[in-house]
Formats: sequence, C-alpha cells, structure tokens
Amino acid sequence: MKKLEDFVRERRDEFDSKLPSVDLWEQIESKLEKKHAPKFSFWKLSAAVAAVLIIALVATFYIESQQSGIKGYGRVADPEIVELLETEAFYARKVSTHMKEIHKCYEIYPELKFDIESDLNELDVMYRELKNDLNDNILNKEVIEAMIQNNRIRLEMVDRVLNQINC
Amino acid sequence: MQYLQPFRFHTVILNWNQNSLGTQKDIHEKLIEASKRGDNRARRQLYELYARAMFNICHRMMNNREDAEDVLQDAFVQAFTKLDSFRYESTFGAWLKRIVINTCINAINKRKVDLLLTDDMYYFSNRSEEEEPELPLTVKDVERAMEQLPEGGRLVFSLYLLEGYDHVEIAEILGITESTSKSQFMRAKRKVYEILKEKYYEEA
Repeated sequence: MKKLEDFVRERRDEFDSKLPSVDLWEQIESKLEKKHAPKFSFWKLSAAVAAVLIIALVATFYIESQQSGIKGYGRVADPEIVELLETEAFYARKVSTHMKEIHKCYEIYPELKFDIESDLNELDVMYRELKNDLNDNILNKEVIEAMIQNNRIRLEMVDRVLNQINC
Repeated sequence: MQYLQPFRFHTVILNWNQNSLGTQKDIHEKLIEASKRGDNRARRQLYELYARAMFNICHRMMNNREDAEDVLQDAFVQAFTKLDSFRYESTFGAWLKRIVINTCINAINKRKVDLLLTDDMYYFSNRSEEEEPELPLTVKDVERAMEQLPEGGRLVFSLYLLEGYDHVEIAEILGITESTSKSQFMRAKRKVYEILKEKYYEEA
C-alpha cells in the first residue's frame, strides 16, 4: 500500500495529462468583460453627463449675453443689474426730454449751454468710472446705488434748470 | 496548443515554491501586477501558465470533463475579479489552487451528492498494509481507479496525495474532522488498491 502512495508521488506530473478545451479562455474573457461592463458604462455615462452640462452652461451664457445686448453688462444675469438697466433707461428718457426743452432756451441764456453741458459731462465721466467698477465686480451693491444716484442727480439738475428758466 | 509548453517546467517551480512558502517573490509578479491593472494579455498568459494544472485538479474533483471546465471557468473569473486581494502571502499558484478547490466543492455541494464522509476508522485499523501483494502500477490505471471512488473518498484521496494538502488542511477545506480525513484517505487508498487488483487478476 505504501507503494501506491510512493508511485503517485514519483509520477505526480503524469497525473496532469488532461487539457482543457482551447476555447475556454475566450469564455473566461467574455465573462470578465461582462463583469467590468457596468464600470465602463458608468464612466461613459458620467462623461456624457459632463458634456451635456458644459454645453447647457455655455448655451445659457450665450443666450443671456444675446438677450441683454448691452455691452458691458452682457454676461450678467443679476436681477439687480437688470433693474439698474431699467432705471438707467428711465432717467435717460426723462433727461433727454428735459434737455430738449432746455435746448430751446439756449438762445435766450447762452451761458446755460456751457454750464449744463459741463455738469452733465462731469456726471458722465463719473458714471463711466462706476460702470468700470461694476464690471470689475467690486462692492457691486454700493456701485449700483451710486449709479442710480448719479442718474437721479442728472434728472434733478435738468429739472431745476428747467424750472428756473422760463422760455 | 503550443502555449501549454512552458507548463511542465512551471509545475516544478510551483511545487518547490509551495514547500518554501512565501520565502521568495512570485516568479510571475509582473504578470500578476499587469493583470491587476486589467491587462488582458497578461491575464491570458497567467491563465495559460496555470490552466492545465488547475484543470486537472477540477477534473479529479468533479470526475467529469464538462463540470471540470465549468468550474475552471468560474474559478478563473473569480480569481481575476478578486486579484487585488492577492498580496503575495503565498505563491500565486497556491492562492489560485484554493480558489479552484473551493469552487469545485461549491459545485459539488450544488450537485447535492452526499460527500459520504464518516468517522469509521475501525474498518482499517486491524489490517496490515504489508500483506498486500505488489502490483504493477500505471498512471492510467490509478486514474481510472480514482474515478470509481465514492465522492468523499475521491476528494480526500486527490487532495492529500495529488494536491499535497495535509489532513489538517483537508479537514478545513472540506469542513470535516482531521480523523475523518485520515480514515477517508485510508479507505479510498484501499479501494483504489482493490480495483487495481481486480483488474490485474482479470487480465491475468
């Protein structure tokens, strides 16, 4: 009986004579691929989601800049800025109608032309500076307030002039 | 078929490595690391190096070719899936072998065949081994005799004599006691001997 054990141990290699089918690896490989498939599609999916997000973001900014249309505010969708733009338009309209009235009096009061236009110019220069500050995104709340204030002063000024002169 | 050529050489290294467990880095470390990264060529090379030895283990345990191939597939898929958990604490061959054997045992349990592992030592204890006549042995005859063993005996016989586990390890693998493993081995060995003897006298 000892002989049987010794025989098997001595000829151990010969007991490994059987060979698996040649195509067995292909089956293992396809099973491994299936196992890894969800991981792979997860990356694909997240890449797709990222791409969609980026496109959506770019599109949103582009459309907004198109809609705002005004240079310098183009990329901003802030409601405060929108309000500022409306205020600006409102005052500009009022000032320009007042100015039309004042223009009529230039002949009677020639010194008025110089005074009022230099004042308005000064306000314009200040306004342009404020606009730059706004674009630089520094203390925007205060800047916007100052800009509205600037508009108000402009209207008050032309209002007062119009009330003083009577032609 | 050519890719199986380096295997015989490898078996020798593998067995030697197992004897000096963990004393040197695995000779296939590069292949193993590449396989961990999902390199399909490295995986295939590893498969080709070990497929034959592992297939023969499966064949001995499952006792038929079809089941052996199914189990071998499962075992390799498992091994590659959890390859990250292989940290060179044993040789890759020993690690893989345990996965293969466990997969075989699970498959056998699914087949719902009773392992027929009992504790009866007495059957052999009063018999002397030296009384047996010497028989001319061939590998083919021994293999055929093993195939005729009952399931439990076949498992213990191949795990002990061919896969090189001791009875403590076999007890752990099969979930039996050490003495059951020993008695099962004795019983299986005697059965193999009887089958060989029968065949020998039939032919004579």
